[in-house]
Amino acid sequence: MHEGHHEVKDRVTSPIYTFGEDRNRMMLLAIVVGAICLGIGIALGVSSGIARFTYAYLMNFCFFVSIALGALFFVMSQHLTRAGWSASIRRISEILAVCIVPMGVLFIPIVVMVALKWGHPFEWNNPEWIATADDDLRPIYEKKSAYLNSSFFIARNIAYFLIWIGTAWFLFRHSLRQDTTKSKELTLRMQSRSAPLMILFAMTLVFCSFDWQMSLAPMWFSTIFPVYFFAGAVIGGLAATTLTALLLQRSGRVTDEITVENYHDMGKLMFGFVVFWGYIAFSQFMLIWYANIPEETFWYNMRFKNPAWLNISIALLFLHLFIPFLGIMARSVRRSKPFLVIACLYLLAVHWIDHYWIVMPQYNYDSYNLTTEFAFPIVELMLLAGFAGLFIGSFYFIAGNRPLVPLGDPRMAEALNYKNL
Amino acid sequence: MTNHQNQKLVGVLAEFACADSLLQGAKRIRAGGYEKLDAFSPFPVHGIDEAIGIKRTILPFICLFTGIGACGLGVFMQWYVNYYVSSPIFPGYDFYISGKPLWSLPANVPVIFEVIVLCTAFAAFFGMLILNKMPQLANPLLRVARFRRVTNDRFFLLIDAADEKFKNDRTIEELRQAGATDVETVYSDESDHQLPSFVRTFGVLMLTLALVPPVMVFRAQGQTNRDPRLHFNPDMDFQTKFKPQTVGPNLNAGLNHADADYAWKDIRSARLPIKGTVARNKLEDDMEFFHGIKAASNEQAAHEYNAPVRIVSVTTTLGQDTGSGQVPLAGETAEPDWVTSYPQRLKIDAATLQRGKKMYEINCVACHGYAGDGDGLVNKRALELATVNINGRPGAAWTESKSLHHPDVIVQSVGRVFDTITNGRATMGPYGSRIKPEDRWAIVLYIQALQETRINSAEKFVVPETPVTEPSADDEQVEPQDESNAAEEGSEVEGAGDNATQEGGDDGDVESESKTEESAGESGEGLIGE
Amino acid sequence: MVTVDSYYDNTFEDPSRRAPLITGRLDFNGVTEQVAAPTEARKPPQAWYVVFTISTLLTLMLGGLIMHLLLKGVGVWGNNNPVYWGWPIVNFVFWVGIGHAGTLISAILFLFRQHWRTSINRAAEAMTIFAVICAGMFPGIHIGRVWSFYWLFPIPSEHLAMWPNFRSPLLWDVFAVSTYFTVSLLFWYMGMVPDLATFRDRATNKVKKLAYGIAALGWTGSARHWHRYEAAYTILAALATPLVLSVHTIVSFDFAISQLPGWHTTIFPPYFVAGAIFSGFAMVVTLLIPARALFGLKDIITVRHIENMNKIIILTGLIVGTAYTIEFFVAWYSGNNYEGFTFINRMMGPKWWAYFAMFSCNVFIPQLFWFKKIRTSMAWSMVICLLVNVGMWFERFVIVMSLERDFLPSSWAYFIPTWVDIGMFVGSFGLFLMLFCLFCRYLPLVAISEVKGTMEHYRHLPTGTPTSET
Repeated sequence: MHEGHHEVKDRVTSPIYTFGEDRNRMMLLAIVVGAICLGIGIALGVSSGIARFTYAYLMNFCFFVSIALGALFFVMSQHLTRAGWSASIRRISEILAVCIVPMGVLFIPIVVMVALKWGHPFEWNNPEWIATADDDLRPIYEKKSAYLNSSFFIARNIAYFLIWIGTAWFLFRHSLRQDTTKSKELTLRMQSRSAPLMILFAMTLVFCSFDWQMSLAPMWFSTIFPVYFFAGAVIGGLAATTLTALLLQRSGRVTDEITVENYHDMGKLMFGFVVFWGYIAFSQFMLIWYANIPEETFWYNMRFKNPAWLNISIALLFLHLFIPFLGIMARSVRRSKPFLVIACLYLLAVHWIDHYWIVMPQYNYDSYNLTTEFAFPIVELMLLAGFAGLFIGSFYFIAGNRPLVPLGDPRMAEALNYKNL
Repeated sequence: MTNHQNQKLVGVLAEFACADSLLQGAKRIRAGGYEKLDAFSPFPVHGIDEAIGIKRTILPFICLFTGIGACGLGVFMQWYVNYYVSSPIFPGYDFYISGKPLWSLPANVPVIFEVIVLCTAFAAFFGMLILNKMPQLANPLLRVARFRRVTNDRFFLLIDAADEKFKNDRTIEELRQAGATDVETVYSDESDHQLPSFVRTFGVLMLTLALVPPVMVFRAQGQTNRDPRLHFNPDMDFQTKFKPQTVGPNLNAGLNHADADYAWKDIRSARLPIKGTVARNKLEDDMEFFHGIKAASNEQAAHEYNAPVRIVSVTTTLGQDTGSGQVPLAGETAEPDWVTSYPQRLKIDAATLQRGKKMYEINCVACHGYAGDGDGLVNKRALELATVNINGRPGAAWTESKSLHHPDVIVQSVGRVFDTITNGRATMGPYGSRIKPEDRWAIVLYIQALQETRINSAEKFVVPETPVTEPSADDEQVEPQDESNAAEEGSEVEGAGDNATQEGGDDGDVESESKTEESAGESGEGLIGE
Repeated sequence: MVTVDSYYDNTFEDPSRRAPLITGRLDFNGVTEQVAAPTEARKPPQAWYVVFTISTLLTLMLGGLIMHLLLKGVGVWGNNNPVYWGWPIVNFVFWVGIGHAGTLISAILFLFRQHWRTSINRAAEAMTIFAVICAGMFPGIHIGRVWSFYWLFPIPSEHLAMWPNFRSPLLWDVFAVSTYFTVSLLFWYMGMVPDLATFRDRATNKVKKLAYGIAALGWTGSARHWHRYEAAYTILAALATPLVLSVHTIVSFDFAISQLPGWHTTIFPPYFVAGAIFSGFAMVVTLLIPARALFGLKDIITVRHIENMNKIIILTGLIVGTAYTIEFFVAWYSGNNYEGFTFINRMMGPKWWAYFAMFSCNVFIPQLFWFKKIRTSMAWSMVICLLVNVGMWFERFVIVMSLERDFLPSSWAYFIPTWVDIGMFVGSFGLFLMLFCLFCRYLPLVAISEVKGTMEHYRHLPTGTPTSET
């Protein structure tokens, strides 16, 4: 597998390693379909009340951002651990991570919602919010408005995106440059920069989870919430990376570079993070359930009182933990490409349900009567299709004619040759 | 190694220089048709499993099923222990804590998880040992000197003699061709399975020593020992704290009595209420009702005769006398001015008499008997015991219970009887703390009714040799039978041809008793008058 | 044997090849010789005697103090209203935390195929066992009537007519810590079986032969045995990984399921786990730096190993720091006055110095490891890791001491430990070090067979990495 320098240039543009001519066609298709679905979603959403649309938009936005962030985390963690096994599959994660850029564009509607002080999806953003509070709660509302106010929200969210885009772009560019230069220095630089970037990543992830999801119930607080968001995001990132790799191989690309051993290990990581997600979700639930303090339990009550939401809550436990736990525990599943396609699609689906479960009960939540509303998620699903189209389209756009494996990575040889026990 | 007559051929052991050549050699030998091979290496050589044909172990499945079973065990254990309280044997214990339902799964998850991990880990470890047939402390291979380095840096391949293709010289030759640096045949014999001699010696010694404790226990059986038991562990038995109704605490705990440093000068643990203190609902403002003493007649005596003072005077026998208010005992001259009629506060009616009967039967019958003849069961048994010699002493010291029909008792005023119940007389204990004043008055009323049955119609009644309530097999029948007796007695005392008695119903009882009470009231006054 | 002076620097960064994990041009036999040397030497180094004597004396002191405690009752500790849980729980959590690195290195790094773990996992696992012994001791002697300890377990009893309460986190602790101890012991022992066989085959006297022979269970390195052994090892690793997480999670539940501000925080489970790994790695570094020097293992436990552990210490230190930040932020964000007060009180209240020690030792000082010079310097690593341990002790101290000031100002108090508290804590270090000294002297300090497996694996790497410097 040792490659000479003269071959690199050919390989960088070889159709096996790039999308080649398919790229423009697929990109346009995805974006057009996405735009149409998004349009239908918006139309449906606005017709069923602008409030619902804002929540549905936010939730799908969070879902796709979490995938990009999960991929970004994967790339950084592989640099930090000097991992050799994942070198071949890393490029896909790098591209997915750069998809944070279009997500930044799709964030603009949320900025607008906040700037216009609509009051939804963020209740605290309503100018009347403090005024409508009970007398005994008003001081707390006032205190919180130091953090939960539109201008600070917009400012810090722009900072998050700048950090993410910068990080993803930095890693992507360096990796691309390595394809032709084969410079070891680039690997070292990515490794050493990943450490401080990881700190920034962690801090932004913590606060973005507070901002986008926890603050939907402005009185609720849970210190583990960012970890919960993170666990889901990593599952999303890993599943999306693996799924992309599998689909690329189906279309005849990078067939030899990404081996069944890679999939086996990606499967193990997904398995691990499914368990981790279960652990975090259980810890949060357990502590709030056991201590039974009203200022925390109402968040779960929102999801338990309405029978429809209760069913989704219970289903989530099985769908997001037990079924994938048993499903990808077996070595044979992790080494079977058809099974793995199903597993990745499944994990992305339950990850979406997880976001749905976090965000949507907030919509039309009546804090006095503790009632929530449930409607068939047609708006959410249409928006999902729309976002997915745009996300995939931007994946094609970013990937362009660039190699889909980091050909110049000095650890490629290791990735191609290692074996699982 | 020349004489192998008593030895069994195990196989041929070939040494290889490194892991790679072992792998190559093993592949070649296997290709040559050998089935019963084993390779030995200081670390797991990857690829050797396929090379010598090792099937995937079933250990993961053993662990999986153990894990599933352990999950069930964890759930069952907690369900049984904290929820299944109606279990016939070792019932569960229901803790109602922190408002959680008895069966609350989230709180059981941690233990379920730990049980799964523990059981599965055992399955993995012991399953591995069992599948590997370990521990196997004797192994003929270990007799081969060069084999000792297999755990260091050498690699070996063994072809079992049981292999179909095994043929000593040819096999050796094939192994050499496969790259073995050295080949040796291995034999086993009896000595492989023998324990080293010092282990045997040690074992016998330990067994002998292990016999010592049981022998000592056996010897100690049936022996008596007057030494107090060892107080191994104080278990908080001696504490510098106030225990009720005792001396202490000794703040200088653990030292001898001379150095004792008690918290209070009078060394008692309990403190008295400050003089004149009245507890809630304990204000005894009616001398007649609470003490049976005429209030108007003797203010001074009444004042001195209040309850706390009496307690002080009784307890003074312990030590320092605080003075005032000695209790006048029976027969002493300094009798207070007892009331002769029932206090105003007492409602005299059938219900009170009924209450008196009930309280009498609860508190008094044991000694004084149902009819008040002083022939209660306790009295009888104690008298019996008093006549028996146990270890040269009488079985009981007992003063006979007084018959309530004794002339001395009959002449007593109601106040005096009330006081006897309240504070006791002679060996009779005080009941004031146990029976409420109105109930004590009710008892007095009932006693008077009992006495009345003998005074006014003595000739009609033959005092039975046995008590009125002959202990019958069925206790429950005793009371109603007795009640109707009493009712009959009451009505016949009255002498009126009241048909209520014949009816024997509840109403009749009450009515007849109310009449009894009326007459008792009258006669009581009459008696005093005499 | 190699000379002690010139060691190969394997801390270089070269993505095209793996840095050798074993230096000194050691072959398989060389590794065996080096690891076996401390147990086969006629006499251990003098420093061993010094440490062993001191630690044994401290252990005796600990025994005496425990007797004192049993005879007098738990009143000899500083625990009182309102700080019902004083140093014993602090020490318990501290030691359990330290006990996490061993199984983490064995299990999680094994699953992540971090080959550098093989040089240090044995010592770390041993450390785990000893730390868990120290940890289990504190709640064990805190239960008041120690002789009734079996009431903690669900044993049917006519006499007691009662069962444990399975909804109590303290009972979960019993299950978690005892399971953790058992599984760690199995894992440690199972990993040691091939090495004990090595010792058996090298033993020169009868006693050693018998002792190692029995302990090795007749291991011969058969391929069939290795096959099942590796399966069992992987399963145990896969079980031990969530077990590590669960144990400290359950320890955190002891606090977090309450309703006390500063204790009831949902981030406690992962935050406690990260803290445990943090302190555990620091303890491994603290123990291995002297051990590798003392027993001539510098070629097997190389600077790169220490450096890698130091990197994990930065990582976990940052996780812990992030958790502190989140806690602080959310205490403010929650708008709950009690929550806010607790955190302000921790930082500026009467025990501000403890908070200061915690924050600086756990968050600031490990940042020095960003400098390669510092993380590859043994002296610096030793000092920083010791400070990390101090900091992690103070973290638990800070958490427990929140009890000093609860909802009711009239019941506020200032906790002061008694001499028994301090003596027991020091004594627990004695016990820990004594056991570790015995381990170094009589058992394989390094997983010999695993190191050899790694050497073989590295020989076959496509990048052509040498097992040793060439």
